[in-house]
Amino acid sequence: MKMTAQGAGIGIDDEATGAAEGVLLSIRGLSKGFKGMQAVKDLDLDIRRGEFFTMLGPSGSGKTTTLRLIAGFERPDAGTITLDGQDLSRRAPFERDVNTVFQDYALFPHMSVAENIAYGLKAKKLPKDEVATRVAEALRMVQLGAQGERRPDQLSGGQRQRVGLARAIVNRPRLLLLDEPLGALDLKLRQDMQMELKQIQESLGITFLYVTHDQEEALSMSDRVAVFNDGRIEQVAAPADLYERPETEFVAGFVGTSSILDRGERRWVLRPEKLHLSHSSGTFTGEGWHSESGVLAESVYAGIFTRHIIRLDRGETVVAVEQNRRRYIANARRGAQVWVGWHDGEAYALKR
Amino acid sequence: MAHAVSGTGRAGRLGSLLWRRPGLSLAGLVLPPVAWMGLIYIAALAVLFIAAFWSVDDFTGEIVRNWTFANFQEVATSPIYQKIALRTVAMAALVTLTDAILAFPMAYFMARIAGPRLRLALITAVVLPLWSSYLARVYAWRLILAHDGVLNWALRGLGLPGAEIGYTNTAMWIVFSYIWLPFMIMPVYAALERIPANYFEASQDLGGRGMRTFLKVVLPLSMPGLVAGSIFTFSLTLGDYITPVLVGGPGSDFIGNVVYANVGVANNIPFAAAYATVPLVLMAVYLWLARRVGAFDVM
Repeated sequence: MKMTAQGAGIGIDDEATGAAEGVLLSIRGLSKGFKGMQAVKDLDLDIRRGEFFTMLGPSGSGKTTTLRLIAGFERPDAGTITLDGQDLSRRAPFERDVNTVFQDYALFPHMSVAENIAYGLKAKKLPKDEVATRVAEALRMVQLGAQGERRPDQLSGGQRQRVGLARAIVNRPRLLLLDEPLGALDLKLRQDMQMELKQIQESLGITFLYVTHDQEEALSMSDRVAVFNDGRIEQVAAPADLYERPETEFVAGFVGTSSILDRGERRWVLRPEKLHLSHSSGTFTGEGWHSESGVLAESVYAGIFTRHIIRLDRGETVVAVEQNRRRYIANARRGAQVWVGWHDGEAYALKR
Repeated sequence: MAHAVSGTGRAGRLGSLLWRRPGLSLAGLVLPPVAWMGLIYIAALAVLFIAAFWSVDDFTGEIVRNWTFANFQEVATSPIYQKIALRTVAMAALVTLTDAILAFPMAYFMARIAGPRLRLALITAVVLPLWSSYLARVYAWRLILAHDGVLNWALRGLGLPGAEIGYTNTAMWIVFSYIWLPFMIMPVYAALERIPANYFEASQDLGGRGMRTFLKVVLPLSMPGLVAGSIFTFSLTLGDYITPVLVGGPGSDFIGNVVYANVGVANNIPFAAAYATVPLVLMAVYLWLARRVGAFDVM
């Protein structure tokens, strides 16, 4: 389950990973259009056994449609979806060994929590005592041991999402699909649930396919992330690689914030925390340093850090963040002359 | 503007008084309907019930206001009145069942499959007959089902034997089912439309095939609509006395026909009142049962 950080290559590499063991779900040439709009365009994707894989992208980028195609809620126009070597394309949702956690929970309101969780097991016609044992086990796992007899409308949002999770994992699917499961929860609860989801995933060893538009959530939970844009995948990489070495301008802009500067041969992706500021021109003279002069347009004090917006003399605007460890530039006046510096070893240039 | 805000106008003063005394505005809201219910509805029912304990002087035909259970006794013991009550209830139940079976697929198509324009067209088509006269529609069916009616004309045209169902209980069943069908379709449609699409997806996702999804998710969640619809179809059939006269045969009398005959021809209002309590009690039992199975909890 350990992920290596150097998987930053091209999205899909058939020869290297496609046929390799360890691939659980394999998508080839997947396309889906709705009236006048192509939601998913000729998509290729491999998901490894046991990994926490996230599909990240803005709304309308095709990530949710891809998830729904895998679940079987939509029929593809073209392409194949294989799970463990079996083609899913011609199977109904109830014939697929995947389960879904829905964004708005989709709990059956006329059933108790325990009945909701037992639904999939009863559909599989498991013996009664096994259903009871597994429901109790699932309830314990999501810390709702005593809530089995309650109705969904008697639970809080966070508890409902736990029921949604328990209802899916109790079936022990080969692949668990999560469609923005924390989208409706408030920030504190989201962060708690992120930790909990990650723990459950690791203890069960189920492969998670997670959809979100929240880049922080994607970076902090995933083994690998696919960034979606306009029905296509821009990049598949481990979180750190995605942030430190974005392959396209879209990824650089969507994952974190960055300023992009065209300077001759190179196209710099400058993250705010990797820019250095100085009042004097002589600070950035060493090996591997680059610097440019500009004017401080705005400084926004935000407690932990201060965000500076600098208008470069060559025309672009860049954003630099400085930790408020010292009070060096925080005193800076608007309109002051500053130098912005970055180092080869820290900043990153896009391929041209 | 300042006038309204400072509340100096008459309307403004009333508004602020109601704001300060919430009980007053509640009383203003609830009193008219309560008065209506109390005076016109409950009182009329009470008079009906009381009259059921009176009797009619055989000789003079005058109503005698002494207390007697004779009317109820006759209702309970007379084989003819038992048979008529049973026929009425059986027909009401059969019509309700028929309408539920006919309405469900129609309502399902309207709520979950049809596009917005087709849906609007279908809703209009379902409700439109309610604008035409009840009598006109029943007479239309008379013309269809009669011996020389449209149905037999069409059947003979196709070389088939004619169907002799005019003026029978079968004719009554067909006409009742037709006339009350909109009252079943609309509540079932409303209930089905309220079921979020992802309940269907969740059921399938968890391995539920069509039958399981229908029996465990769709049917329970549309039950409020079915129960609401059945209250209409059952009670409307139970209280009807026109359709039995117009399309029914000699053996098609309903409770309503007996009541009508006793009020008009026989001038025995106490007996009419006693017999009229039968559908009332039946409906009360029906509503109580509907509550018992939890139909109102999910409404």
